[in-house]
Amino acid sequence: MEAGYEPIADDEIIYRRVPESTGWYDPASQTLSLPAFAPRKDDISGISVSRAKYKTIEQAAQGRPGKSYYVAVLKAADIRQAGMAIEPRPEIPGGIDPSHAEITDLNAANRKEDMTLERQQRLVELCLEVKGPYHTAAE
Amino acid sequence: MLDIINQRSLISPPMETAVDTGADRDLPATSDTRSRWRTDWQNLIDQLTKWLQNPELVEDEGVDPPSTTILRLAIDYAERFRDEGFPPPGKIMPDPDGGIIFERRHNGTREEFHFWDDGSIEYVLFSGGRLVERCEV
Repeated sequence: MEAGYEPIADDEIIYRRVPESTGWYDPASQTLSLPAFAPRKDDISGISVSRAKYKTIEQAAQGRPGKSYYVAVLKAADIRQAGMAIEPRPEIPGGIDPSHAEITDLNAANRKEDMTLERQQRLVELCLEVKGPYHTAAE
Repeated sequence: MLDIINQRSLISPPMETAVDTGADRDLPATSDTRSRWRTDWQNLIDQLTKWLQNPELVEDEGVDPPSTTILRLAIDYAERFRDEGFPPPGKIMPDPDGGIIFERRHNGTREEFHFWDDGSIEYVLFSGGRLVERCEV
């Protein structure tokens, strides 16, 4: 099977990028806020995450040039045990990214539902650690 | 709206009402607390005003900046909360879609006033990690 299309194993480590500029992670209190896992209007099929087996944490943190990002670290099994599905989604706009995956139960269609808020809260609780911030070099 | 909001713990009555006598309202400690809250609110209002003047401060990959309308709405509520003497949130942050959230954590609870990008406003209360209250303001 082509890299990135195989099912995500329970023991896989999952990264979620968190922009430093938003204040969604407070390094002083080491607390994440719910928007770190909030689906956007364009998250049609789920919120994006990265698979650690295909990306270093520094690579997962790369974003807009000149900006910095934290990375929240989770385990696939914990996400599933909390009742959420996580699926490989290597096809992204502009090409293939084997590391790209989605937590499909958090998506644009349900972004304002109570269950979605509760799931965001659950992911905050399940976060193993937050690393960073990592700076994306200016172009 | 304030009738509704007065029932919420985020903006629970000022500390002096715990000793509900007129004389106690002027105790120095109470005065200090209210003064500090007012200062904290003003700092948050200043932060929102900076975002209003420079939306790029909030814009990021996966984060749309709040519109002028939403920022003005949030500033308006923040000024009202400040003037009513309510305790300030610990932080103000954007949501990913152009909304703004006032968040306050207190004694194992997490409270949010969420100004959505469409102009709707919600109050949300988590206690012990569970969603216990959610309503439109």
